[in-house]
Amino acid sequence: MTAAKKPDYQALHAELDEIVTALQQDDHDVDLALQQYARGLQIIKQLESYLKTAENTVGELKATFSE
Amino acid sequence: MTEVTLDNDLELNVSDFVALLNQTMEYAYPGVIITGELANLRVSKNRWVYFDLKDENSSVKFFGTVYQLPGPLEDGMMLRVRGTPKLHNIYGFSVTVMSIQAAGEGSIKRAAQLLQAKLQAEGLFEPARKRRLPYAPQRIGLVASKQSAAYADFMKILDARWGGVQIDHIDVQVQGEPAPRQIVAAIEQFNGLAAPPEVLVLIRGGGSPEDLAAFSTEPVTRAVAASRIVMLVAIGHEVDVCLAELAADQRASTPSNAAELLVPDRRHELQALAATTERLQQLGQRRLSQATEQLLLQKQQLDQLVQLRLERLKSSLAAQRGLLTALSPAAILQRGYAIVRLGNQVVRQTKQLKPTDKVSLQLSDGQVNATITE
Repeated sequence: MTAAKKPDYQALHAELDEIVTALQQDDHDVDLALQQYARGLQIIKQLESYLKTAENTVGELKATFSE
Repeated sequence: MTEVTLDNDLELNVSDFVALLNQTMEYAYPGVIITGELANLRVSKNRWVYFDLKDENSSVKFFGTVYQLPGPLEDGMMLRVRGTPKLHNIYGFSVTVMSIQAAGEGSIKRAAQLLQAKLQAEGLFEPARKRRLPYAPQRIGLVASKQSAAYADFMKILDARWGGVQIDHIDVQVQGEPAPRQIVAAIEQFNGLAAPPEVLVLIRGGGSPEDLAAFSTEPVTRAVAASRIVMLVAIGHEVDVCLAELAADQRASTPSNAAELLVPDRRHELQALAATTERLQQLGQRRLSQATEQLLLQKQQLDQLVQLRLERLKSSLAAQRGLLTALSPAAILQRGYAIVRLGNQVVRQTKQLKPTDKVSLQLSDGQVNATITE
């Protein structure tokens, strides 16, 4: 039994936090800031989609204990 | 040798009687459960256990092994023992133990107290052993009864709060005699997986002390403490505290609370994301405004620099013009000087002249002639 590969919510969220932190710095390069801004919005869209659509799945493991 | 007498009574030798009685009891009572007060508990060679169960009128002997003990016991406790009655060919009648459980609230509590003291002394409940729960794990191992309300509550809260989690479930009995063995086996099975889940959750809903007793047994408590997977245990209601919960990395007050401790609430996350979106837009806007302001400032600085440079050039030019004017011959004549010429030559020294020489004097407004007299 292996878990299906899902979007890594935590990793995306960490990237978003980094972008917000970078944008808070006033001397940040403008071109880079605009790229990061666009990337930030893209990540937010992905995270919202994950939260709205992802479902939990249950797998029953065959128990190995004997009655 | 069996002989049938006239009144149909059996006549047997001792060994045959023992064999026949055991056969009969085995057929009639393959297993019996006897509840009574523990007396004369004795452990031999750290392996064999002998004790009596008694009530007001009777006393019965039991024989078993230390591995069947639910934990430390003491005389006076009420026990519920499953076993098979047997007549030993030398030592007489006893019940061979199959399992032992504390019975009655008082005895269950006392058994738990004794076990708790023992395991506490071993350090199984030490705060230093506790590991941090993974937050929003992608894979959870769940040990619970599928038919239980606890299972339904856990799944319901998990589904309501979060998505994308893979739950691997092992269905176990959570009360009764098989429960401890099944729970231990399930915990060990998860721990034996090549790719174990990030967290192992053991849950059961509320119940009487007897119902919850499995979660305070020594094997279950030890299995929880020994788990290499981080363990979250939620048994019964908030007020019920089982030894397995004390040994766990974290205890949840209820199965629903267990789900709450594991994953965030997606509604809160969505709200937080909306706030982050707004913040991101503000930051992007601010950065653009800053860049625009900076550009404007630079333009002003540039304008000022050019203006200053022009002013300096103008000023320098005016000074040069003044100097030039001051140095011109006309300006010198204006100040009262005259240019003396003898013929076409400018006279600079007196020795160039002698009496009677006719010279011309150029003044600022014209020229006059003169004669040298001496």
